Amino acid sequence: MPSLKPARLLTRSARDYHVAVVGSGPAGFYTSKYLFKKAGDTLKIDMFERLPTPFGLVRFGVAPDHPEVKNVINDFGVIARMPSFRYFGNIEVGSQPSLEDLRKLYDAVVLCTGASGERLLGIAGEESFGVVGAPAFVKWYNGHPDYQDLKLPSTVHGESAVVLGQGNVALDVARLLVRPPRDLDATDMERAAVNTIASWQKSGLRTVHIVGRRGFVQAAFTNAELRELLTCSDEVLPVVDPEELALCRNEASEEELSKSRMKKRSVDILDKTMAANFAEMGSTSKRILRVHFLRSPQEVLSEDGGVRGIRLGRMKLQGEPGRQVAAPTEEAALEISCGLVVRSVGFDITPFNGLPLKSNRVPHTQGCVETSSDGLGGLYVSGWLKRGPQGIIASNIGDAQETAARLWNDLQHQSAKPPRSSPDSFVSSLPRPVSFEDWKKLEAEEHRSGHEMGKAAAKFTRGCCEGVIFKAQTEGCCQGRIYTRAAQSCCGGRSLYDSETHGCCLENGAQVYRYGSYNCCRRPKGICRIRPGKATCCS
Amino acid sequence: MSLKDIAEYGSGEGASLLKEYIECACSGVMACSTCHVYLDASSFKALGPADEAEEDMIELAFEPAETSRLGCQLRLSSQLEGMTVTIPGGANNMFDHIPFE
Repeated sequence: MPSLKPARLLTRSARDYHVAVVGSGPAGFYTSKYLFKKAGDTLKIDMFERLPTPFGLVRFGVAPDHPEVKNVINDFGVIARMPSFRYFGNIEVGSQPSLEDLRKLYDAVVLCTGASGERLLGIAGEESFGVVGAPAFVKWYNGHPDYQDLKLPSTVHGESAVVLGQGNVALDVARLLVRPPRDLDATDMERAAVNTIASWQKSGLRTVHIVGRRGFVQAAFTNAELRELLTCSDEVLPVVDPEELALCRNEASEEELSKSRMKKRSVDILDKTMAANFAEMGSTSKRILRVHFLRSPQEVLSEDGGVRGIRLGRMKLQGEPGRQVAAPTEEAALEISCGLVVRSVGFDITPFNGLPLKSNRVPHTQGCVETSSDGLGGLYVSGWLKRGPQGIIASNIGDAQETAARLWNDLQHQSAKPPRSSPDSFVSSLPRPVSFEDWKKLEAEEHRSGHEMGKAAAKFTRGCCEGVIFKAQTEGCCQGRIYTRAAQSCCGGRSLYDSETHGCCLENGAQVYRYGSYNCCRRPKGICRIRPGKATCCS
Repeated sequence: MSLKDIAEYGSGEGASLLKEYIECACSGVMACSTCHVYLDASSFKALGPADEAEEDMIELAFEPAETSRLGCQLRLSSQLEGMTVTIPGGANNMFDHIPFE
């Protein structure tokens, strides 16, 4: 039975370990937290994050009208400020550096890169314009730099939108589509997204349908979110068809219900208020949130490639209590005329270069993919990449503890190896990483500029170009201006120029010159004008 | 002064023990369920019922039970003298009980 005593009690000299954590969401920070708890000051952690900004889905997934859920970043800040922790933002592991590069430099690498991919339904018409996945839609309104170009219809046909799915994400999306835009704008929701939703509402968006294929007893939403549909705004009327609710209460579901405190409380919300509201649906001037159960999308109807409606089949529940599935019936389908369909049926792992995947999951044992071997540090996983894309922020706690404990145990039991040389020269060669200090300055600026606009914060979606943030792979920062590397360059860090037609001469300060008309010379130092008939003006 | 406050800011052996086991992911504003604890039956009764919002959060916690409460809402008073707090298994103490092969 391996001893779990920390190595420093068994060996003569203490040995410092250096671990790399890839990903700065809850998985990355909780894993770091528990690693430090185990290791004390014999451990250093370097965290790498692809985006300039940290915190993953806490920043981009939590609904903007749920700011208190994001308080966890205070905890993460404590970890980030520990002297043996370093944050490197704007560094894409898998691209530069490679995963193998990291494993050669660190005693262990923990992948906490989550799951940002979409899951498809596989129905006809799904590719129509106006059908989007919640993973992209949520990141769009939350100011994620990769999703600001999401193409969406300018008006919503049929004055209706349909959200497919009944988890909390589906309820978030639906709620945000009907809340008054002035409420939304006061949050840190991207203003361009607020304006889009406002114009949808102005041009007639009145009803948002939330559609799930099983009954309410099986639905994944929780009561806090369900209750919020009732309280989010005076301008919103949440409804459910009482007959449909009754359909959900088959024998097996009643049995499931009797065993679930949570679902019993859901009945109250659905029956007492939402079902009662159903009668008002025809006469109200409020925007309507209608929850459907036992409906499954059969086909997206489109015209000229754009969504015009969706056909929903009637389902029935089949199977043993706790394992019921939705099965199709012969009953008439429901056709809803709509111009926006948001698919909220889960996330999926996004592969990156070097990530070991089997049937789209990373194979592991207690978070360990591979222990350390010749010249390569061990490989570990934590968070959604490890468990699959399910669960809330807090779900990462037990998970991170498992990976941290396993990792630490493995490090103690490696056969004695000489300590690796420090990865410090590697990190100092990284291309302008964003430090945690840089992030704090950016955060302060987001709050400051947001407050000026009447918002909780205005997120930087491209880059704050003050030497703090820019998208290093495709863009650059030139004295306060962001430029596209393919077309332009920055001369001497100050002058932006078209790199196709101009050059940058650094012999005498930084001078931009037009090819063909000027030369850049060592003698005389700097640029000179080419005389007609002469090949060059340099001596 | 809540149980979570003691865990975070308290001094002494009891507080440090609590700190080991009680997480707080939302800074104590009842937006998560990481400070979930079980109480003994009589303390649970003495405390009075949780409000609806707290119940909603308890539902999300690891294996909620009849005597579940959130540590951040658990206001300590002399009425609760002798209270026993049990940390739910699986959520916060996987750390020390992982069987390694």
